[in-house]
Amino acid sequence: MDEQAVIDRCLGGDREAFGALVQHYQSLVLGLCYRMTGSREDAADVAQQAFLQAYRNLHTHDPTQPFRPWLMKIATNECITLLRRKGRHPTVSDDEMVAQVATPEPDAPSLMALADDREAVRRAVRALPLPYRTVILQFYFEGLSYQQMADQSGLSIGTISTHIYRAKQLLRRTLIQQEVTLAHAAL
Amino acid sequence: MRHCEIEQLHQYLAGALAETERAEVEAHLTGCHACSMALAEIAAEDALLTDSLALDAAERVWIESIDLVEPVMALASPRFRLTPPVVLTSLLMLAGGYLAGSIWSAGSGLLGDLPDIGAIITLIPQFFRFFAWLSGGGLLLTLWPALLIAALSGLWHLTRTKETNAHA
Repeated sequence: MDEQAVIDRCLGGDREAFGALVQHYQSLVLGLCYRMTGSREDAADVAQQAFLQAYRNLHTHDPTQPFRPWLMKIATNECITLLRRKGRHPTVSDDEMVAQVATPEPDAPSLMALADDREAVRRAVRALPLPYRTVILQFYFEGLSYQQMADQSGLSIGTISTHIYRAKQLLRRTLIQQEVTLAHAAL
Repeated sequence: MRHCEIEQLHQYLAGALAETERAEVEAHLTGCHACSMALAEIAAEDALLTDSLALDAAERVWIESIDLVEPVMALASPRFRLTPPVVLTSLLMLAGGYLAGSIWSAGSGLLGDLPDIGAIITLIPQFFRFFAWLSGGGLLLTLWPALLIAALSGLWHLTRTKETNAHA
């Protein structure tokens, strides 16, 4: 698909052309929304809303930049809006989070030692505060490079790698807590 | 070179280091077992996260079963908005309906053999074209208020002229 040609057709008033873009990207957008929200129903709603926002703001897309990251950023923002509205995200402040993860933990077990299965990792990712969940999904799910993430967020590459590092530390904590919770539940 | 920073190793694996720094890290890694082990652990964690967050078969089946095209396109359809062209066209059609009714009730031969509604319908194509030019899409959706006003105007004239004829 010649993406820019399709976008140009949309901008020229051809609404049907946008349907081709939805068709092409719906799996990716739905997947991201599902990983962000953890709910199929919310993922479908928010993906729909993301495409609608993309349609209404298509004229703001820079044709020199790829369409996919632009669309995925809209989808991420829609997920964040929904999660904040529903209050389904950790309410720890940024300062508290930094304090939690700023102390190095040289003896902390690795993620491989803590993660029993893929679902445990997914649960732990869903439990991350939104800024950390976002960078983890951008890097490991969307496959964005540090440079692309830095361009999107306006942060430096150093800050992005710090976010990833801290997100991993938080994942370790969450996995440990999950293990403790499961162990208590089994008693 | 001192031991590598953890963030530096993350950036190294992600290919985000500048050429000089990358060369320095590589030179250090060849002689430092601790940093090599740390790098291997980060790489294994990256692989674990990538694998765990990828969509599995059941999730793919669910995603493939969803069609967002139709609902998105339905929501993206232009909706009625009271824009200046809509207001102007509605006023013009109201005036046209009033004029047609006046001509009919005055007994003029111009449109006298047509009922008011018919007279108004004859005006619609002109406004239809005018509207198409102005609105550039979603014509039927945006035209309905003008059609409604014209129809009501015609009905009002029809009722009024019937009353006038009855009095006569």
